[in-house]
Amino acid sequence: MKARYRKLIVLRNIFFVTFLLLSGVLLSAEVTIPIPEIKRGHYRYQNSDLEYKISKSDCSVSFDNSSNFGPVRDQDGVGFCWAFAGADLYGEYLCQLDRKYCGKNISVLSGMLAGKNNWKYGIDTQGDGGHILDILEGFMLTGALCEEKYWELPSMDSFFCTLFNKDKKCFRDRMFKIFTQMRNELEKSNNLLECRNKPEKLFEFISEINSLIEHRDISDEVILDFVRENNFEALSKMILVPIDCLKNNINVLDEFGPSAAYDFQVFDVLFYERDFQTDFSRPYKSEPNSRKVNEVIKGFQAGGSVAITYCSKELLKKYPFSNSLKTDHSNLLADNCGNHASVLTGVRWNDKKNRCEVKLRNSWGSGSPLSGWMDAQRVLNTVYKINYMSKKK
Amino acid sequence: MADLVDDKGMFRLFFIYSFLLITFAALGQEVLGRKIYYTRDLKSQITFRESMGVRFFGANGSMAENVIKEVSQIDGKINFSFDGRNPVVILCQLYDGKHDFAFLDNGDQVPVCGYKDKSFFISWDLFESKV
Repeated sequence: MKARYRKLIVLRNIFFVTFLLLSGVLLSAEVTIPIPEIKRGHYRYQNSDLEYKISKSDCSVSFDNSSNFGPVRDQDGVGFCWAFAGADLYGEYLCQLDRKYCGKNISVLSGMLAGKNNWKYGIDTQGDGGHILDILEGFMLTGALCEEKYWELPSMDSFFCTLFNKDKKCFRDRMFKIFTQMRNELEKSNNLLECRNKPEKLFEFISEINSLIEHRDISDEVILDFVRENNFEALSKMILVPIDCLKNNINVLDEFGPSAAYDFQVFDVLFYERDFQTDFSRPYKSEPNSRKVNEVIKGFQAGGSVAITYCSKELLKKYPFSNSLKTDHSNLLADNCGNHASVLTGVRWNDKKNRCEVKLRNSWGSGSPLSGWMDAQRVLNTVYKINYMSKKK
Repeated sequence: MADLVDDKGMFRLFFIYSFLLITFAALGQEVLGRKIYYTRDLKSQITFRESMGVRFFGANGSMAENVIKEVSQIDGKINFSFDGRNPVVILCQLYDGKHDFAFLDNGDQVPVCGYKDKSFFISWDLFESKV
């Protein structure tokens, strides 16, 4: 063997040993345990009823829109899943209008404010359900929205806030307090304009609102107008929306024109017989999954992703912490089934598993077992409503 | 082995070895690269320890580690009711913790459950620990 190759081999060995030593030093200095793979596919739905099957012919498409969306969010201890799903769908719509919005999250709170009818913040954070349809229509009609970074939903319990005393993390607690206080004041204000009340009461109220607004430049006359009109939503918007969100407001009408703001429709496809929102005891009739997946595919073919409303408890029942209550498939909505909303960002046929799959984007933070590619049959068994947006034809 | 190959083969072997080393190094970085941070600006990284397959931050015998051990000793299901809210928030509250979230390097929020002694664990790790 020639000398130059010996040198080459010696050099290579030195490089190899150095690399190993360096790797060892680096890894021992900072051990970061990777996020584990989520275990999937160990659970199979036991119902053998044929109507739940999804055949290859029902699912012979492939969509994956997940790159349209921003980072995975955590809805915390509030039931705003519908607002997260709605804001995600509308964010994707903006992404389709202009690529600069792709991969960015839309503020859930700005969406809730847009969906006026469901603005319940500060009143009841336990039973704070709402409709995806309303939030999408709210965005469409009011165009009041901004990116998540300008109006976040910080943690409710604020552990890190306590730990580091960072004001931003504490914002939500502060807002909760302010909003509840303001709501109480406004409820009292219904009588403020009646003749039997002394004018001082009204001035007290205006003064109270002004103290809540702090940094805003809103005249007493403007507040009085809101009181006269009993326009709680408009007043709450002026008070609650952070200035950053107002300054960076995405005005769809101005930016993309009337057609972008008005020429689309929101589909609300129900898989139950009657309005469970008004009466939970009404009978629920399950639809075949073949029809559900057909509707989901229609949504993807319309150009965007699809929001689903479903029973999350059923999908989590293999976990040791889950409630063992069995879901009654003859009446999914008869009992609390862990009503939840998420977005399907993809659908495909998996040849290896010989199963249809859907890609779930959840608002339970990273690591949730209900996320990523999942068995479509298993997911759709529990779905009772889907929503998607489509341009009017 | 060097005697068994000709000059060209030596060169090839050298480059193949080097390529493999670099590839493994890159893969290693990819796998270990899912770092978790306290804040969205990714300035302060959290270094976790592990107990019973659950990542936690804190000393030995910290409140977070004690909860992990307590849960690991429970036989059977722990029933709690949830209604679409994030289940790990309810789980965290069940064990007297406070919910918050940290961040992955891509901005994804990672739910954690924290305690008075400043220890905390990754909530979904605990949720999945007994499967």
